[in-house]
Amino acid sequence: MAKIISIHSFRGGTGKSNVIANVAALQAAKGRRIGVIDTDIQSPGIHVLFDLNEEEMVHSLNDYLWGKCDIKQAAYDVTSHLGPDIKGQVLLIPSSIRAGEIARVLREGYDVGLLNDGIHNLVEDLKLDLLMIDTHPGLNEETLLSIAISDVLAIILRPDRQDYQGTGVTVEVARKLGVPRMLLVVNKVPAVFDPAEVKAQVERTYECEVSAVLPHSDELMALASAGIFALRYPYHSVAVMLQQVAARLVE
Amino acid sequence: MPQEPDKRVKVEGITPLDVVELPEPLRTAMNKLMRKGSMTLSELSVELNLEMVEARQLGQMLVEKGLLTLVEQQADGEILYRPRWGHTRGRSVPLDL
Repeated sequence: MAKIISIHSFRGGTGKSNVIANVAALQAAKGRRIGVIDTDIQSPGIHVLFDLNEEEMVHSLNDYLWGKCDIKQAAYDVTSHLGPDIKGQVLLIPSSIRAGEIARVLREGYDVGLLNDGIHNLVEDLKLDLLMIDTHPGLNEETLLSIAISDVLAIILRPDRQDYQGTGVTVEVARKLGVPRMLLVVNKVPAVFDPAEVKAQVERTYECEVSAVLPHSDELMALASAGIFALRYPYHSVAVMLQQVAARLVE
Repeated sequence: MPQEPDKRVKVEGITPLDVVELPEPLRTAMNKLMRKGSMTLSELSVELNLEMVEARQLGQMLVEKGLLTLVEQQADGEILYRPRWGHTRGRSVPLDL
């Protein structure tokens, strides 16, 4: 089973954090111990999906990178926020949502080795079955490090020409960084598109497996990050596809 | 191959962005070093298809150039290399955010 999985998209708004939160919750529901680290230091957000309030964040990834705490101290058990039927655990390492702290890390940079050690220590110290890394859209040092040390990279894209072009850049860089396994997930696909045709076209373009073509869903949009869609609507077609993505990612 | 890194300017550690720009087969070796966390001299020699002496010279050069750090001499005398991670470049952001 893969230990470290990075989920990335070249552009924002692809539904990357939603896919991560759903996959993490579905894996935890199977009894696994899942870590989720938000390395999107510039625009953190996945904590919202796990209903972790800013007031509850005593420490964050930022504090760890500034040497203020151990990486374990920035991990929050959000399992109870997911509902009663979760046999495993989800441990979230959020990035700070405070404007001054976001600005500081952008201004000062950070020690890449410290982030690398922190990610590896999380897997060992928290005895994780799986660590999922939420990255910042586009390419930056956190993203490249995540790709460089991951067992699996999943790239989320929409059927959009800008996404297609950006995904090409990401795929090229990921190949240069020797990522062992790469998957694509096409998300927010309009109903008028033929999913099989989209899958074939994307696979042909990038010479890379497409693990799912997820349709645009009004129900998911209406949930508006107020929960984990696949747990809230387990029989919805999108939830079933997310289960397939979750299974494929950890193979 | 060993001549190429000699032309590189000395850096204070490496970041993944630097690794992407490395020529082959140095990039593959650095990728494996990043993923594994460390590599012995023998492994470096195999990875780059070099004789041990050449691999040692290259390793020494990469240490001097700031890309690798030589962490320990293991009990059997084998040399162990680790990536020497750098610091990301900060950038100008308004202080009154």
